[in-house]
Amino acid sequence: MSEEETLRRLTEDGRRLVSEPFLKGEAEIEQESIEEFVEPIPGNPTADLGTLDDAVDAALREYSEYETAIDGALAQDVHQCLDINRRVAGDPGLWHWLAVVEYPDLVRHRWKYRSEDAMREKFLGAGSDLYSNAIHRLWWIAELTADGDDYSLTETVFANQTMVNKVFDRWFARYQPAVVAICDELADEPSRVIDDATRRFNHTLTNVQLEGLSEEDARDVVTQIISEVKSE
Amino acid sequence: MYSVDGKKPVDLDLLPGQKEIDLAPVLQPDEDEEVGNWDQVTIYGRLTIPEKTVNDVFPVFERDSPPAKLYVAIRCHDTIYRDRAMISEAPTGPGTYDVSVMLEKDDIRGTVELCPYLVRTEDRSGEKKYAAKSNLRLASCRDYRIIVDRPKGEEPPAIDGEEASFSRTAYLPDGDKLYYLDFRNESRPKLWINSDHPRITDILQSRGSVGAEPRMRDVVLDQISYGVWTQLLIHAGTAIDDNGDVEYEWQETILETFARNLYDVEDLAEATRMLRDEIDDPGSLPFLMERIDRELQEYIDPRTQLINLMEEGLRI
Repeated sequence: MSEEETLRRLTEDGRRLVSEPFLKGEAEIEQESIEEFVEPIPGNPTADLGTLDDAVDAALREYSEYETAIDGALAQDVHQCLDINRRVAGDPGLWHWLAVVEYPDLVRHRWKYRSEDAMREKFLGAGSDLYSNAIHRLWWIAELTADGDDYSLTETVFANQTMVNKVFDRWFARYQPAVVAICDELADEPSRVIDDATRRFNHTLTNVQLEGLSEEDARDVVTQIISEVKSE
Repeated sequence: MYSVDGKKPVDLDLLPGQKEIDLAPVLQPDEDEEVGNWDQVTIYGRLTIPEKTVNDVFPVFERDSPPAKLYVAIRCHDTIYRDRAMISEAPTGPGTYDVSVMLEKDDIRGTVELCPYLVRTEDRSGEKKYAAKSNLRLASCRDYRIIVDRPKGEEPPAIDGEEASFSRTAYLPDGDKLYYLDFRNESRPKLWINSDHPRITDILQSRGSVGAEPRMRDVVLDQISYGVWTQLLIHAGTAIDDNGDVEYEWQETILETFARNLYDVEDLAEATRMLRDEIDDPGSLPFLMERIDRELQEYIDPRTQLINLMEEGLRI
């Protein structure tokens, strides 16, 4: 077991160091330049970054550039190695530090540079947008789909990019019982069904109150919707 | 009411129409948060379901034992958190319900929204005028926002503020005063607004930035703040000792904000000394008051709010 390391955060001002050449992988940020823009996180949360480093190195070796399977290969490690709660995970500076300072190669290996805005989001997104920062999204999707140490649903979700896109880019994905029910019920469905069913579930929430649903309630609603979609 | 870590509940003292509850000053974590200074907050309140609401959302045969549950949805955008605190399982009829919502520090940051919902619990056939499916939303009311962390970079206010009826409070000044700056606790001055003038206090509660009420609010606030800043500045100025230091944090804040601009010098220590010297010299007092007036007109910028109000009133 590697030694625990204290997590840190990139300050707002530190974001200015992220240039277009850096996003493209044509330039790196000098350690001395970044140091003054990195600060401790209240509560001093820790992580097993040694283990995570090994997992990231293995993923970089094993997977070709831009392979979506990298997400599934690393989500559990990211979630387990970072010893944080939601309060800490809600701090965008943590994810900016992880992406910009600790794992920039991973971000560039997983995400092709298509535009400055898109790549900037992978490094400097975070907060309540589940689908932005490259590492933040792995932790949050694992957080919302794991059942204790059981990450089978997390693996199922990351094995299907349509599911990742259609579920976690919507607001209902913040309510865990609904996430679990939807991901479980849609796991073996084709993209067309996932696309249509998630859209209809979202629409259902204009009348149905989300936080009142138990996982079983959500499952009933989703199975009904899936059966309607399939019968059309 | 609210309690922190199970301690004795404290009154929230909400003003009429107030929906935002700022607990940040009470819960502010230590600088390094080595030892978190709070773990959970419980918010207490009451929810009333009027008989009319039940009659509006249930058919006659269900009204004696409405198949409904009542809960408070808890949402925190910053931590991607959505949950609920159950208040009453089915059946839930008209009446008043005690509410208790516990918020764990580990789950939240920034602002937490609380919104009550009355939701149907059973499917039903027949009578199409009313909701018939379980989990359909039947009624809700306005949401409340609990602030547990102050937005980054936002400084705590220099002084506290509160409304009170001056006519009913012995230690507040008689007459129809609009406000009173209370220095009984020199370490933490407090601004009292006179709730004997509800028309004015209602305006001060208004939200937003457009429309007549917010425009009027800004002008009233400017008027109050001019008098308040003047007093705070004079009090802080008279508190400067021979070394140029002051005792309390609010005094430092005031001097940092105004002293350099009063004398148009970059060095705060030099500006503080100049202010102290001018306060000590009765002959220079009129000039000091003129400086303060000039600086506050720049700082508060009352003309902008006045023009906004005039344009609103004249529909320009």
